Amino acid sequence: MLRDLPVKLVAVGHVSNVLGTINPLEVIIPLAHEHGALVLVDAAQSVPHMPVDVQALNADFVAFSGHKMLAPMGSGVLYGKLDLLEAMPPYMGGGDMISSVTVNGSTWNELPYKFEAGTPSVAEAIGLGVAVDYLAALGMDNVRAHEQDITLYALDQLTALPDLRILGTLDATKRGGVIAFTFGKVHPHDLAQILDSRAVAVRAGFHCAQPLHETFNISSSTRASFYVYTTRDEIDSLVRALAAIHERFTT
Amino acid sequence: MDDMYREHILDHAMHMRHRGLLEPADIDHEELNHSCGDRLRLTLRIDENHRITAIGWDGDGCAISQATASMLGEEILGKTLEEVQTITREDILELVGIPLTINRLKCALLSLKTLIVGTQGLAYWQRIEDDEDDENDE
Repeated sequence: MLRDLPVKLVAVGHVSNVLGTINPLEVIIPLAHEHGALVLVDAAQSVPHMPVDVQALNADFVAFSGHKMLAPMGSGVLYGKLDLLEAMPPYMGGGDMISSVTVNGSTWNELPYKFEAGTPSVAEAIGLGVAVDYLAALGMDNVRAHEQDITLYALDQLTALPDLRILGTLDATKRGGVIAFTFGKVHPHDLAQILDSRAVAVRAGFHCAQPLHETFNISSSTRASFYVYTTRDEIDSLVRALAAIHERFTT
Repeated sequence: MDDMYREHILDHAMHMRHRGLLEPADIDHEELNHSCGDRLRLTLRIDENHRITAIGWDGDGCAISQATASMLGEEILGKTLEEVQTITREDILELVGIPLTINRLKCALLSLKTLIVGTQGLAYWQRIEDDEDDENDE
């Protein structure tokens, strides 16, 4: 497509929220740049879980949300290269984004205020800052190592269950801490509800990725997600519950 | 195991009655639950006295939606369309026999909706929904 069409912007998820796949940005970004396209990275699934160096990646824009990294809902970050942000007009008018207003026109405030019109969500922004400090103190290398350990352990246990089909690669070094799966004939909504009654929280449905599920020819999937607080014991609880459900639904 | 998955629901979910579409059929209607992707297609044969003489259905969905379709099929076989018309949401919940959360209520009612819209039309189903909502408001 890059070869045949005048592509202006390549938008790519760093880590798939269903498959867990870590996309090779070190290949994708230079390739897009070679063809004159800018790159916007959705890092909502990577920034909370692993070290991400936006300058080393040479990404033009990077977005991620606070609520996936222990921060309040409604907070988030949009990173952009300075020259691009300076060239862009504000998308919204309001307090703080303006420098001067006269009868004949207006001038815009400097970055980042140009894009932060109106009363800011102060509490959310402070909460996000605290979450960033907390994760930085843990060390993002440690966060990644912990999640990879849990993912490896979970993949190992889950692949041993009969009728359980994991979506995406089984190589824990190439995926983030989410595992979506189907489980024989047990419908994901039933599965989620029974797991919930056993104090295991998972998500069921399309995970906002309906075309992906169509590609796999499945109606929906169940997804277990891991983070800094997830323990091996909790994976054991999930696996024990799944084994019991399998027995219940097949006998 | 969770209350919701007691014997009779699992029994119907795993050994569905009247599954498989009739060809030809006098009534053939499909409904979807867009929020969860459940799908149900119902086919019926009706005799000259408006009596349901054969039922066949097909669908995808969770145990609740599939088991309810199976149970409703058993319930309406041999009944007339006039009799079927009087089945209410409460009758279905009684068949299910366990309390349902709001988001699972839609799963349980998909088969009744398919039956009522297929035999009486959408306006009739909407009247039932409105009436019962009014009752609940009081």
